[in-house]
Amino acid sequence: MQAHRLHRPLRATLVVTCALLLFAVSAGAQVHLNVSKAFGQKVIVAVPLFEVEGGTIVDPSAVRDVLEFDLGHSGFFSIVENREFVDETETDDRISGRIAFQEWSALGAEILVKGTIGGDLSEVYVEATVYDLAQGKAIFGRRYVGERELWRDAVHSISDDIVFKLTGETGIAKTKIAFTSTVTGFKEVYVMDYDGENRRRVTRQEAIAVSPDWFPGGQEIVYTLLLPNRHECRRATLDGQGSRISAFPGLNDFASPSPRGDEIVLALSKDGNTEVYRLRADGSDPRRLTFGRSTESSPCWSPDGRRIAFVSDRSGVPQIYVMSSSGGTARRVTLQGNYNTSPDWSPKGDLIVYVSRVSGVFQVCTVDVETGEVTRLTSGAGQKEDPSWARDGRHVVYSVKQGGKTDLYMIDIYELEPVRLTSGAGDYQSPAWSD
Amino acid sequence: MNRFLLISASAHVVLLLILPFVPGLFEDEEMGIDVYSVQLVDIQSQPPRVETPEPEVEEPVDTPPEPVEEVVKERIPEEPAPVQRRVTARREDVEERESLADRLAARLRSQDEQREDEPEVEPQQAEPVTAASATVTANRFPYAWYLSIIQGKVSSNWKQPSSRLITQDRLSTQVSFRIGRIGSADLVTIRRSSGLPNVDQSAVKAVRSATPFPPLPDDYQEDHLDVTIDFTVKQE
Repeated sequence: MQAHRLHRPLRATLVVTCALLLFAVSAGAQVHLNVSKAFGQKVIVAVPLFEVEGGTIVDPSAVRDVLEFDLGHSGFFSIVENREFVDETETDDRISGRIAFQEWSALGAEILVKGTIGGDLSEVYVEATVYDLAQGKAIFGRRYVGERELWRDAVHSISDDIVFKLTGETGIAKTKIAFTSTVTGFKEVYVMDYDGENRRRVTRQEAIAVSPDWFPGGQEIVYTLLLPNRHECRRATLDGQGSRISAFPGLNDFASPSPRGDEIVLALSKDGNTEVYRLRADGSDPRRLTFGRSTESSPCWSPDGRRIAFVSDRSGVPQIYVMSSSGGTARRVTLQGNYNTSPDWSPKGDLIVYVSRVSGVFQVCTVDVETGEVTRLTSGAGQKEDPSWARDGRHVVYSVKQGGKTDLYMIDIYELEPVRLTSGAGDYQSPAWSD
Repeated sequence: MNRFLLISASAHVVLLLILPFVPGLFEDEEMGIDVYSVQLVDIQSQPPRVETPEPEVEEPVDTPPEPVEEVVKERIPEEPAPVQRRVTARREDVEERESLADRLAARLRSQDEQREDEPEVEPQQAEPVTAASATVTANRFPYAWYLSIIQGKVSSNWKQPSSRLITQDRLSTQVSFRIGRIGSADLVTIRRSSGLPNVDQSAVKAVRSATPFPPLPDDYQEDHLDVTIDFTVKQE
């Protein structure tokens, strides 16, 4: 009895302490949201014309165009409509330093990106401050400095910063796309910014270069050179310095670097029919992963490096299969359609994008590796080929052959509106997106 | 009896008189509301740029084609001090701008009304879709953009189960979770089940696949944000 009485105050203290702790733990704000599948909600962004300091080094409207393209295609933002209503007052505001929070809000904008460009002929800086319009407060600011001709990179960097800070995702504005083009008369490997700008040639083989893919880090590519008497799998830095990885008799095609970059998988036909092999990135230690009388080709790695997707016609028609990256039993993942090729594994790991023949036309589809659920991304005429994922697991680049010409397009897998990236003479094929 | 009434009444009167002087009683209501005046009134001078280099890890800069991130500048919101001067000095200007803002608002309202009449365009497949979504913000978390991002990410990642399994006209699942400072989502739980495990699981999966969420806003003081989301499936 005595003992009980002694314990009572202690118990009371404990109860009170627990209650306080609970209160402290749940002290953060609480919000309640509704979600519907109809449309992914987007944050509306306003980008006024960039302010220019020290002479017009770079056209401010070009800077705005790049930033609007980046943000508008990130999947998270839409650009405010009717911005010309506020643009009028912007001219005065740039002089006075006032920021038209209310006006942009009235247009429906939630985020404002105010920027400045300046510098001289050799070096420019691009600076931007991001404001929360509802609160009239700065969220963060960034400034990049670089050579004048790299101003696009600076703007892309700002876009990726905004995407990261405001969405938590890694943006794609600074990524690059490797591809082949016949613009010189030969087929060479080129690299461009993800928005189609800044095209530059990587290989100068004056032959036929096909199926480029990136080593991790975006500084080196692997590709296959088709020579009159052999196929060579080669690697090259972006300035064209290259070396041979393999030149076995027959095919040395469809090479894909591992996520760590220390190995590649590719299709070789040195032992008779085409099979999937795994080699070190210098070409040594080739190991055969598939065995059989059918053709196995187009291998690619899962993002964790543990599995490999590839194409096999063991069922009579080409289908996508998945196996361990050390070989062994393979599981078929495409159960619809009778012609499925060209797999690329999403960086998020859940989906494989591939090409499927639908009513005689090649279309880009995704399949959920676990559930087998198929979603078609493209439609209409034009043969779509060689899809490749961006690092955000949301965008895919692919080629479309239409009217005797092939061009590159990208698509957001949630919005399904293709954006054309290339134009002009020549064909643009076999795109691969850098990480 | 009357005496008690009298005492009670006078006590209430005294309390009512004291109330306005209790410090901090109405502070909550002011939070997040005074913000409009903050920078709107800031005139000639640009807000001073406070340089606070962030210890952010940038990519190696040994390759010339990369523009180097030189400094990270954060603009600290201004004190709302020069309000009066600004308003008196450029009164006409302010009025003109406000009326422009009003005109814009009116124009946009009329656009919105028109939009409501238009039929909604469906993305692609004939999946069951729901009606409009709405956002309710707690006044302690005034970052509307943050909540839009959460909604957008969760809804893009929501793969609804096949409509064959759903017989009701309308189903709703409530899922709650806690967002940490760096944008992580923890304690993902079904708060109210729809009755169909597939629908419930699809909602939980939507939240998990939508991560990472944005880092909590820098000037939001708490170390987490509790979010509850209603997932509604409605047969059209």
